[in-house]
Amino acid sequence: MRLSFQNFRLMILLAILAMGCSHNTPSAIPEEWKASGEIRIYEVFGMDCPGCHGGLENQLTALDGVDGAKADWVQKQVTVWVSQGNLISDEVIHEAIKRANFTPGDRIK
Amino acid sequence: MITLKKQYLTAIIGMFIFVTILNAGGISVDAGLTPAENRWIVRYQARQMERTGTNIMDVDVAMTTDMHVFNLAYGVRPQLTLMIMQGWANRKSDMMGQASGRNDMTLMAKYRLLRVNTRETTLGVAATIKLLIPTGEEPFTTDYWSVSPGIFLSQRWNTWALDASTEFRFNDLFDNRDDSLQRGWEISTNCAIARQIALGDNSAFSFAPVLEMTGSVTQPDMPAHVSFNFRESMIFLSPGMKLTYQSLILEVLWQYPLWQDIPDSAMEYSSKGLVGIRYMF
Repeated sequence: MRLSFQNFRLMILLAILAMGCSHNTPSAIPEEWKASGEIRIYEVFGMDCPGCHGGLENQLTALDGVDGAKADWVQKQVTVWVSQGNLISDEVIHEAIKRANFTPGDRIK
Repeated sequence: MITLKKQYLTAIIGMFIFVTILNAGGISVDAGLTPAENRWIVRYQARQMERTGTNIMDVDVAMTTDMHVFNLAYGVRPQLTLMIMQGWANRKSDMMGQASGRNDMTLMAKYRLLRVNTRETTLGVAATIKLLIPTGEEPFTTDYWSVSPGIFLSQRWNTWALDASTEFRFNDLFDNRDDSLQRGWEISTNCAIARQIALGDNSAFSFAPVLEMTGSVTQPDMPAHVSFNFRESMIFLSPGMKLTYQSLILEVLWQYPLWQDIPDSAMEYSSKGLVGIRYMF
């Protein structure tokens, strides 16, 4: 295969298709989160592109008591949706952030 | 004397360097620190390389090699990543004809030695080791095992990044050939600089101009006439770009040979092209 225009076009098409299949992670907090449970925001250091979001979010949503997580590499923070009545500690959240190879900062909210 | 065209070229290269002396992340070589625990990374790259020269009859000859390279990486621990790489190649040569086949398989481990994240910067150091297994088909296999220990350095400063790596390849681990043959070695180094620019209001999208510099020195097998490794040294300068949307990365790179020192009988390297796609689960 040569890196011809047709092949390049095919790669772009595949990329667009894959983007369409990707889960959506807008920076805004979903209404569903605001309706119930607790929303916490933590500073996170070490993220350098949108590709970092998924690894961090996977670590956090794997925790019992965490229903959702949204990372933001520009704001250097992650928003965590904790189940209603769950008393998961900040230390447990911090450990999950470290497993994603990042460093937790202050809890903002 | 610098012509007007050269002035424009110098200005464009200068602007590119100025723009990219902000954040990086290599494309042509494995770059980036170890990913999160339990994270899978799937990567595909299409590469094309051209070589040109003249034969003993002083006739122009050329060789084009297309490669399809698949990578699968997994974060076993936050500090340890394992990777497997397999490529397929198709070669068209005026002198040797056409050939297609599987390349040797590469296994790699990357171990994080240091990672310090602060509000403004990230500094990381990792050790790497690659094992080349001779599973390829003729004429794309080396027919022997090789091991390449290396070191990787990463620095982030806000949206700027600098990655550098170097590795040394020991060929023919199990000494398959007779004692009269002394295998050559190879040392290679790569440096990449880039800037990650967020696009739109949503931090899920970013664009990164990348500038890489790659160099390698190959020590030939001795005696040279039975060698697989030929004496060659080269430096490539490579502008490129990465487009990231959430867990998906599209990457394009063009490598220009800045300097090369190869035997008179060998064809010179022309530019190399690379288009890749990466998804992280």
